[in-house]
Amino acid sequence: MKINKYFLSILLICVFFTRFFFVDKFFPTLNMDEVAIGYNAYTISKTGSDERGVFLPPYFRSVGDYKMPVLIYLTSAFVKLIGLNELAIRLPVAIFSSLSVLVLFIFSKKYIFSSKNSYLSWWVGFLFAISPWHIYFSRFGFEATVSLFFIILNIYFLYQFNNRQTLKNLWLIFISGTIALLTYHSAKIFIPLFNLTFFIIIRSKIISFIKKELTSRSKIYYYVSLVIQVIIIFLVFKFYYFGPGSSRAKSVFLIMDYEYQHLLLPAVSQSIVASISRGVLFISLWLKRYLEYFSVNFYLYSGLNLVRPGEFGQGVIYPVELFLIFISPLILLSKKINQKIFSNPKLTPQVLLFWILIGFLPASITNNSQQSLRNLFVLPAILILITCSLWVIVINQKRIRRSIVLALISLGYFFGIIKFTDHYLVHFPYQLSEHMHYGWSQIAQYAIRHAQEYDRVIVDPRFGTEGQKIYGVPHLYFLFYSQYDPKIYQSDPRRSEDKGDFANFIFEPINWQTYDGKGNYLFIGSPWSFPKDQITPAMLNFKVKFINGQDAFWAVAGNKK
Amino acid sequence: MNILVLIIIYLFLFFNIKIFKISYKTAPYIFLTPVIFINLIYFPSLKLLLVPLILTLSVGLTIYNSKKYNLLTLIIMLFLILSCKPEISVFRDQNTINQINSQRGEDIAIYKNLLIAKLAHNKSTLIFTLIKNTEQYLDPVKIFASANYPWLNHYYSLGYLFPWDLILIFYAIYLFVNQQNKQNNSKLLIGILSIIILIIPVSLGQNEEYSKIIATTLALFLLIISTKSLGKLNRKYTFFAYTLACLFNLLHLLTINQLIVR
Repeated sequence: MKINKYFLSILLICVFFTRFFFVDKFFPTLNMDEVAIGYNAYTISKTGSDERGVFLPPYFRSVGDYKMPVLIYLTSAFVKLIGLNELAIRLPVAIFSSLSVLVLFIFSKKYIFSSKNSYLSWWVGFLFAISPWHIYFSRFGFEATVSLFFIILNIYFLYQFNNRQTLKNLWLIFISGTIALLTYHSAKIFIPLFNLTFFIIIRSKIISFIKKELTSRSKIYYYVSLVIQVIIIFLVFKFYYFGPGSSRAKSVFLIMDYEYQHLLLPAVSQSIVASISRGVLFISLWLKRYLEYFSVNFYLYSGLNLVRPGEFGQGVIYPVELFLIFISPLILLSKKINQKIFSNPKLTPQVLLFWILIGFLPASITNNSQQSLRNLFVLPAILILITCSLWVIVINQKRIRRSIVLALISLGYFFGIIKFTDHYLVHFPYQLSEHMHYGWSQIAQYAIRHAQEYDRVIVDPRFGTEGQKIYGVPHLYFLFYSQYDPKIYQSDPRRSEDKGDFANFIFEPINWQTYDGKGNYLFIGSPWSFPKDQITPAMLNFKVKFINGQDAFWAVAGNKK
Repeated sequence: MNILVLIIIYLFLFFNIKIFKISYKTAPYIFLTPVIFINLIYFPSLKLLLVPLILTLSVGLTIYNSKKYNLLTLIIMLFLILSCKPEISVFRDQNTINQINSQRGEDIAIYKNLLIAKLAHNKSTLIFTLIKNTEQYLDPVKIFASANYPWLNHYYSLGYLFPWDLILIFYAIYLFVNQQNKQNNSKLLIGILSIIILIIPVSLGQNEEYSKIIATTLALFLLIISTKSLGKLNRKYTFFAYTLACLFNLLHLLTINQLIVR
């Protein structure tokens, strides 16, 4: 496979700039998931156990959640190498994000586009490199981005198996699929369904492969592989589908939806056909959630949630790509275009269709509407379709018209990039710093520096400018920035299911009325945690502001009345 | 639930399938009638149905039958647009103006420069408002899962058409893009243009009555397409699909009956 070095270097520069440039500085603070991953990676690198003292756990118990293991183990290697800091948490995700671009480029060049149109794989690569959907999730410590890499790899090996049915290729499918599945919850639904669908599409090849293996001399390898794979599948199901690892899925499952539980079910509960109605209500709600991923607003102005709800923000693609997505179903369904553009015109349109249909499934069965992280897996399929649409409207034109179309599309991309940069760098931190848990790292670092001056540091886990709405897990920030010895923390008897008290740090809501004013305490909380009329300037030791200038946290010394 | 209603629904579906079986042998498109009927019961007002029904049929016939309907379609559409006189309010909508000012203010505070603020927000927010208004009528959620029925529990996910109609619409598109007769391309173009012309006025203003007409028109137009593709299915699949659709309809009806706001 020949690769143009000039284009490759441009692609790599593009990927490097968008994924690695100031990755530790922007977004300027770690969110709660990132510090949870970071501190668990730190404890693994130091002791081989998680924050609760479980040795090499198959899943990581977090507050109200069980985290999948792959990213934490990966991050532990980076923590070991460069220490516990922001860069070590975000670097593995940025690296796998960059590798995803390269793997998709190679995959599309080798298996998607016909040899005549293989240059389209460059287009796919560049579109992936500048995709706002992928860039945004590549610059945080999100598991989905790493999982996406293994999913693309899995689909690459599926195609490889389609071309050459060998046991080795089957193992490669199995390994890449299992790692993807162990990286992110949504992949637990996507991987089995997509692989099964692919095997159904190529069922005749599967049957002949099995027949061939069963009659060959080396059939013992086939049987051994089968037994090992069945055992691994059994273990994966035991731990991640039915065991404690499934708790995340249960807590966000669509059935937990407030409207469904409290406003719809009571209306049908008295009926003689209540059980049928419950089923109909559930399916209707699921279909609604599923179709929401095909709404224009998700793609054009609200998919990434970079601004306050109700305002026009950033969609998951550039506005100019919306038109290209509109015509993509026509391309997908046109046999004539498929034959021209794809190397396998029978298989690829079906694969792309099911990639998208199954890709939106995990997000649609959760109780959130239009969640862009849980369906990140569909992005490569969407970009391949956008590329096909570009091919149809650009290449199929006469010279002058082609130049005009190209100029207009380039202008559209230029405008889209400006808009995304503006939303990502200006409006997102300005409007949503609170939702990204901004301020906790600054206040934690201040408290750690001054903790020795006080008997107790009492931290209120509630935060937010609009009231006591958000409960956080602040102890993880304090553990993270103090690099607190995991062995001491693991054996601390005060540590419980939802509390993480350690050293002289106590994490509980501040109740100023019960405080007698005698203890040498430092209180940390939101401005509304304190009665403003009783706090003198001398008591207010330190303030952290959200990026929009509103007070986020106060550090109040209790004994300076 | 009233047991009589249940019996009527059962009888209706039974005869519906019978009618389908008979009509399919003689004239395939007769079964359009019961399919439309079963969906009509969801529409909020029969008064609002007449115009879109005529309009949709004319657009449908334009696409599928003859060129002579082109002129008729355009005349009806023009009449409809002129009679509604939508207000062009999007450019003076206070919410939109506030949003532009707020986001521009944040840009100016960071960049100390008006150029990027202008580039990123001046016209784009207005264009997005137009798209948002248009999207309300083309949104698959609205059409297939969340239409506006004042008489029904607000939280129940029921569209103007059932979601499985989407499969038939996709099948219709598949048949369309793979057909040999190229003349039909112009018919599809006329159909798409008709829908765009219909929606432009409402995307500029907020006329509620007109909005209902648009929604109903689109729903019926899509219904004709899906019925058409049902007729094109292989015969053994057609009966199976139709029976399945009727069964789903029945389940919905049983549920809807309990969710009517009294």
